[in-house]
Amino acid sequence: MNRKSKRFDPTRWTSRLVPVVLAVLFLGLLVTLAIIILAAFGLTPSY
Amino acid sequence: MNHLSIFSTIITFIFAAAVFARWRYKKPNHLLLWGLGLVFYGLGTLSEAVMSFTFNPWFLKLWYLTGAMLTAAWLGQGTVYLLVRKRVVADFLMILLTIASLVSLALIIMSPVTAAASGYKINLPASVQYKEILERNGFIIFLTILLNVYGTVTLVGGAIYSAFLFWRKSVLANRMFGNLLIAGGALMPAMAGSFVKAGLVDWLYLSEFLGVVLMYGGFTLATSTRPAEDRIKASPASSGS
Repeated sequence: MNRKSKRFDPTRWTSRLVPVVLAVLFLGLLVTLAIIILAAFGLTPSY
Repeated sequence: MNHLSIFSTIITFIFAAAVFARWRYKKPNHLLLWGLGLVFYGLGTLSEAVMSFTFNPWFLKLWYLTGAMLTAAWLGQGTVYLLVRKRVVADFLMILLTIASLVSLALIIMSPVTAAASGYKINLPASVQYKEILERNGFIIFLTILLNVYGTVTLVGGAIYSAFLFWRKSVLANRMFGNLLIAGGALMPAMAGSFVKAGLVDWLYLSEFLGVVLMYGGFTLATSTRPAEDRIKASPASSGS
């Protein structure tokens, strides 16, 4: 497969939706890390 | 809903077999570590499945060791081997992870099980009961946090970073979408603890199931031989010729 065939033409969906999804995932990552660290110090409510 | 872990286990081991099947051609380290990480994931959900029928202290220990301590870190180490260009850095982190994992194994084997084990409720997940049953010292808790932070940052962060690069360069759409699915799938079990704390116990099983399904879908898409971009949009030049 040559380099040209690996490229894709961004559609409106890929150019706008993908950055939003990336931002949401990154936010999810930060929230998860915060929960792990807060739980370590017993700062999250327990079930 | 607690029997959903049976399906999670089956899918996880099928996924692990697919990763190992791909690994055996060129034997890259990242696939070996992803495969091992998935075996840990499967052992964790298998322990959950067994404990939804009957309690056994060794399955609780296996669940804690694999599900709560090792899975994310070993999957993440695979991503480290894939993305970190300096092999010596990845090897050094691998040595640290191996030591941490062996220490974790020894500590969990030696951890005593309390009398609260007799009151184990099979209709509730292990994650809401283990604290009263499995005695964990401060070092075990420290290792659990360390391994989970390392695994989450490397696995989820690595997938987000890869997807971002493919998007920015507009190359390999199948890998871009595949990495988005892997990142989303990996976040689900990582956030499962939060669902439990919020009282949404059933979401724990669902998040484990959806997590492995999304990661499997993402892996299949990212490693597909025919890039998805061909299907998304053919270039005017190629469609016109």
